[in-house]
Amino acid sequence: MTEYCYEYQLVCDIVRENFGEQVTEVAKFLYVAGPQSVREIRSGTKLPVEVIRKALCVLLQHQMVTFVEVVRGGSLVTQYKLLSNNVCLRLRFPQYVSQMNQQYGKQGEALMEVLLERGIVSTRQLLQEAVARSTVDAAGSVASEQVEYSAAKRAFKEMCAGGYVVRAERMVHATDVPTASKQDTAAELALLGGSSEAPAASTSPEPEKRKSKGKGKDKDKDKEHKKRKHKHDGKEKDKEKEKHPSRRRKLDEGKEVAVEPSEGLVSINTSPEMMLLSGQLGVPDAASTSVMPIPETTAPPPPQLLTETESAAFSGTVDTTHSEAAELETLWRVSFQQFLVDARKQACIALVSEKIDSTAGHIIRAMFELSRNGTESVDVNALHHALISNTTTKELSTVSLSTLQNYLEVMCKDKTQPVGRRYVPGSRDPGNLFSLNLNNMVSVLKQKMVESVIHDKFGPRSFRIFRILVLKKVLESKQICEFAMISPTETRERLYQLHSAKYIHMQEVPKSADHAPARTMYFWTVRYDETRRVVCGEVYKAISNLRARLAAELARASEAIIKYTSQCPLSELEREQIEQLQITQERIEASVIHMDDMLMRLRDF
Amino acid sequence: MVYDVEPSREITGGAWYNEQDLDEDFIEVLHDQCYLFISNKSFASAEEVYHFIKESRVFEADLRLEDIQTVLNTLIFDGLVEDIRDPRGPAFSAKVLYKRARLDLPPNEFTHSPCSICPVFESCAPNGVVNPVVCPYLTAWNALPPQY
Repeated sequence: MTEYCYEYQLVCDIVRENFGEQVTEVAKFLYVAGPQSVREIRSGTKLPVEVIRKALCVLLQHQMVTFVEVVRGGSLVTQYKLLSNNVCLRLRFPQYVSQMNQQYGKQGEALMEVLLERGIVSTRQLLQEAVARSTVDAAGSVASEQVEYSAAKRAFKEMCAGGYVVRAERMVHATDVPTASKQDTAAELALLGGSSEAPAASTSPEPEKRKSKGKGKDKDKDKEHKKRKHKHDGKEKDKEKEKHPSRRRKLDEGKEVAVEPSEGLVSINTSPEMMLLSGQLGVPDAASTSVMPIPETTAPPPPQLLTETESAAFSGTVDTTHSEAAELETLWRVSFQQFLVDARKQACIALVSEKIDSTAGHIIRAMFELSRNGTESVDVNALHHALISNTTTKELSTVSLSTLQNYLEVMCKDKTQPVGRRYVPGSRDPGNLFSLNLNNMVSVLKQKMVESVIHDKFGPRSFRIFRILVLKKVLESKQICEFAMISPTETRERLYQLHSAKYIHMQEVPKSADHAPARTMYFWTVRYDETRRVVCGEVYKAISNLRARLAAELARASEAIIKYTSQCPLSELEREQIEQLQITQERIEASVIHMDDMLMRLRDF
Repeated sequence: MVYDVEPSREITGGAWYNEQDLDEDFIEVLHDQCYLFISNKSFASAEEVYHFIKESRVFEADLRLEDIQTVLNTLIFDGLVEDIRDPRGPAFSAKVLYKRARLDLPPNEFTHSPCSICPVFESCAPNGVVNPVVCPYLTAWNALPPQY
């Protein structure tokens, strides 16, 4: 539970800093309560429905919330779920921007900055803002916009090909859209035209449609008739309807009946997703909390990368003006998964390079490259060819097939087992296929990180005791004392120290019913997943503390900062304050980034 | 006891005990010597380490092969040494060899921050009496020179 409390604190801090109090209230409720519908959020947070919808829109825009449709009481209800991991990913944004700068230059950096700030952006808006940023950043010279635009387009294509940017998924399921032609036309106009007007309640599709499964229209009419029977007074009827309006839309042969939303219910035609798509809700800036401008957003197409035809149209090599215009309105988002895959790959290569040698690291890198094509197992000959054709490393060009075979054998027999052998019965060379054991490498990385924390925090002897328990599973303190060659007193003290920090666990096995200590055996063990969660929780809290301290320091020196940024003359004291603040800020931010890297290894790998 | 009768190791505690107390300094020195020997060689078996310790005549205590095995196990638990099967021998009865472990513990920033060693870490809260805004440990940490 402690880990979740600390994560909750960090999530609230990040959301509050970026999106304000109201969005934080919604995020807090979703974290604590789990997936909830808008109605439940309203009853939990006591915020107005409009505010909740806008807050959900903001969180959806920035991929911090996802929605699922569940069947409850025979009807479909949309529930929103907070993605706390994605919220914490905001700590990693500077690294993403830096990585894009290294790989794709300043255009890549500008594109990534816009995407991370906006969440989901259309191609047109993305390129315009990226060009504006990279033009402003150019020191002194003002490059022509056309050149910058072409460079930005090129970088954007490469980022898409690398998998760092993907199309934003549709927010509305196609099956939810009714098939009436008038509705389609109106919906399309609303979605594609980017109109700021609200779609007509009677014609727009409904993501929160209450479906009556397998029941005909007659049964609905009967039910309605039965309901009316019980309501004698017209006024009471109206009041009843206001309190508990019917949740079912009845399609009566082309005639549609719009449901008037009451205060307690979300309008099925003005759910957050629909309002986002129709352009009613805007994308907030980082600083804005209550006023949200209305952008021109359009319906996102299905999640696909650019096909060859589309990329050709996008690059302008194919003369399809209409398709290019439509392509410029396509919505895009950052694929955080790709960054994680890259980081994990680098960590695995570094692990093998350290464990064996650099050549083994290159072999693992080549196997990763080959696995991108979808092949699980790699033949030695294919791997040898891939290594030789890799022109970046000259030493690999002299690696012979037998040497490669030896390296693979060594890696198969190593304790970490980064590579596994795959036996294919009936094939010509059984056992000549090798595959990467990603699980093994990742578990070693996590284990080493946890052990590093224990070694630094409790000392080498406590580390030795922890390792004994990891290797031997369950032991008594006397056995631990013998294995570790530490005195019994010190062993007991260290065991209780680790136990109070919840890094190890004790199991009582009583010999008698009264649980008398003299007749009870106490076994010590390590529950590795729980230990890892404890470490994660402590890191969450440390990050929250450092961020709080940085915010306090910045608030304390706010006057000096205002003077410094407006280039007013500073006193000696203020100058020292600014210098100290810069050192503090760099130290804290570097520390937060490194601790987030730890979290990535422990939690996300 | 009679002078020419050697007491049992179960009573004396073996080579590790000196007058009923665990001789931690002796264990520590033996631990370092074994690690140095294994580091200088690519692979070493327990017998080779035992012969090295015996021939060095540094230690007066009567050490046995099992004692050296125990010390080598502590090297494994410390993550300094790894045990592997001798690749030259048959797979099912291969001798156990020891080699220096090449995987060091990764650096972690969490233990470099004062929060990791703070005695009141559990009590620390944003609006509490103990909070990061007025934390003296963070103040001292921030006051360190830039290279730390």
